[in-house]
Amino acid sequence: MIYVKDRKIVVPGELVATGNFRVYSGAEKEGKNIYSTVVGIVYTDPEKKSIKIVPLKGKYVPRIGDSVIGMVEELALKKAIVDINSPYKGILDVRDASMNRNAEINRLFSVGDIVYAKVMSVSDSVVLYAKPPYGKLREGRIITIPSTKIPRVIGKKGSMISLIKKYTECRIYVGQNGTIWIKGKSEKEDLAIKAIEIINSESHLSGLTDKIMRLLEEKVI
Amino acid sequence: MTEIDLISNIEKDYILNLAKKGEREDGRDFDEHRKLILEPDLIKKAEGSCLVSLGETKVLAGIKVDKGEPYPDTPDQAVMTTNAELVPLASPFFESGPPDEDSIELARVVDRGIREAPALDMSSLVVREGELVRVIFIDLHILDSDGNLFDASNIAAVTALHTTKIPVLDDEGNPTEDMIPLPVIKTPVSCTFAKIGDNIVVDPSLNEERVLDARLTVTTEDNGYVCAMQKGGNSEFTVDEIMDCIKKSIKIGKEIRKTILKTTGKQKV
Amino acid sequence: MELIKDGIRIDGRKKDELREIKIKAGVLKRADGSAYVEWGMNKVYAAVYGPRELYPRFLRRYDKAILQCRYNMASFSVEERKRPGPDRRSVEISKVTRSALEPVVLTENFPESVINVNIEIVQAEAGTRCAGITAASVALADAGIPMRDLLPACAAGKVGGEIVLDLCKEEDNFGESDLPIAMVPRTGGITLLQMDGLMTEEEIEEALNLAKKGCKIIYEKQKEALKQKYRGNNND
Repeated sequence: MIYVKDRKIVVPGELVATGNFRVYSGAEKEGKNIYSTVVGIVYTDPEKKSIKIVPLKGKYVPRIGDSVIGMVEELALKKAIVDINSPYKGILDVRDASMNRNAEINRLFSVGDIVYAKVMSVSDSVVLYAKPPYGKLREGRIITIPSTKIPRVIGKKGSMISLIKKYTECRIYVGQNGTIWIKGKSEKEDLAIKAIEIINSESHLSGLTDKIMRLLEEKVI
Repeated sequence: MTEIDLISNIEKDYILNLAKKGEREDGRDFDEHRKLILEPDLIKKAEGSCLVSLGETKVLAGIKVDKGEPYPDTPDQAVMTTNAELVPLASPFFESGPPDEDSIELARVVDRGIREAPALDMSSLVVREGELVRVIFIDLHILDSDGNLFDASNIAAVTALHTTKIPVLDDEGNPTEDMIPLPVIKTPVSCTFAKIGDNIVVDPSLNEERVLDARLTVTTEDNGYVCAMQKGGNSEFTVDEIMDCIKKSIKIGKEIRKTILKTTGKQKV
Repeated sequence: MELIKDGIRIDGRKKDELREIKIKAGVLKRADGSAYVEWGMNKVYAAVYGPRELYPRFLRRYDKAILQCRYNMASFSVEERKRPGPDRRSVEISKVTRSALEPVVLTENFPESVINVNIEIVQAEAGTRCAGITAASVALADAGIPMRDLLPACAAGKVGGEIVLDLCKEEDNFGESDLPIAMVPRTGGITLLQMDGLMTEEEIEEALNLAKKGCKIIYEKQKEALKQKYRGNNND
């Protein structure tokens, strides 16, 4: 028995369903009852008997294999400490940051630099890797949204982000941690940011792709 | 611990490049304030109060009035103190504890504008010279720190003074039922500028504060006099730049003063 | 002073009637999550930051995030100006607020980090700790922090020989006793409990049940506030 309509907003503690459901995220089971644990959107699949609640906000929790975009916050001996909008800082060792064996961390990075990196390990600390094709990002713009919205920015099989790239002709890197880097002509950068902001604020509404399509088409001549 | 309010080099360059083109991140002109909203008299427990929203920056000022002894060197003047609390609610970088140099500077700059204008007729607030005077506490509670606390705090404090009502005291110094407004005789308004590269912008946003080279607050009063200034930041101003800021402060101050007087029902015809 | 007459209280309420309560979620830009509560004359802001890195390191817990709560009153929030900064009362309230919230926050999701809960009372008139906890749990949810439930809080007490809900200032000052609680709506469990004044066993049971009723009403307002924030741009 599901008590909440698909795509509706729930808050912590709400009874979402009773019975044998598979719970993916944003909820917990207590006996047969399934309660939400976040403010989020409910996605139910009655056939597969699964429930997923996507939080509308929240800090990024690093997972191995994720691509993230962070800011160098501090330089230590042979490593950079990187802020990745998470409760945990990313650690980028100089050996994982350059193909050059003799590289020095303070020649590779300054405090405030933006770095595109891959999460290699999360056991002891969050270990990052930034050799090519990862590495320091220069110029352009950055925007940060809740990491839970990133799947909507990417879209099904990358459809949404491809759309934005195609219409704005910008280079765009999307960090799973919610930070996005955009580089192109300045008015096109603005347009890409506008599109991403709309996805962020209306991610829980239907017809989003059409809306983004209209925005991009009207602005692109 | 590296808890400092950093901005990324990409965002910094973006703001610097925009400034070179005469533009700002939020689309404002260099001389344009963010949206200013005044909500006077929200706190009934205070004798006067005002919540100011300057863009997303929010400051709540409350006025409490007590009575006490005057300072020995000014026996014929009321006592006024200004205090600012940068509570950890307002920013990820504010910490609890005794006032730090930022909150003390903020309180003192606001205080100076009000004292030197002067906003209050301090001599009319004396009950018995040398013995008993009114003691006025201006408390600034910062709720959301999103750039330019100086101006938001100044406007909140001055507007709150305008809304303040105090009981008439009898000869013994005991309060009676009758209430009178505080004798506010001037409306000092501060205007803060940020020097970003070779450009100067008014009412800096949080990101503009993070990249600014130098900062200047100019407080002006109703007759066009400057009554307080404070320079901050780690770079320099030329005399021409300072004079330009003063001119702008007088002009912008006039507009804000009108808003304050209109909001508090004191606009002169 | 007659605090209650023919079942009507000094401020005109019935025995089981709350003061007027308004809750708003997401009111501050810089905080990760925030809420504003007006409860009678009380005006309260709550802001949540985190989970974020915790310093000094020795405070870190390998198995969970720690909660740090700070209850603070603005100098102008009360009749007599209060000196800025913490006093013994606010330190105690900060502590019981933390213990009240701890059971509903899934701190085990974020080991070694800290979640900061800041409560600012900008106007106070009886019942600020309950208003603070009510606001704080909405702010936590607004920050996207996983929780077992929201946490409404409310007091009941004995006034003029009768058990009443949500004491106003006169009742707090001149009534017989006051019993603030916070309740986990899902389980009915009580995570804040304080009491002062004299009551019999039976009276306490009656007061607890009445306060729980109050919590249920407040819980509905908390849910509504969180949903309202997102309904603004929802056209369906």
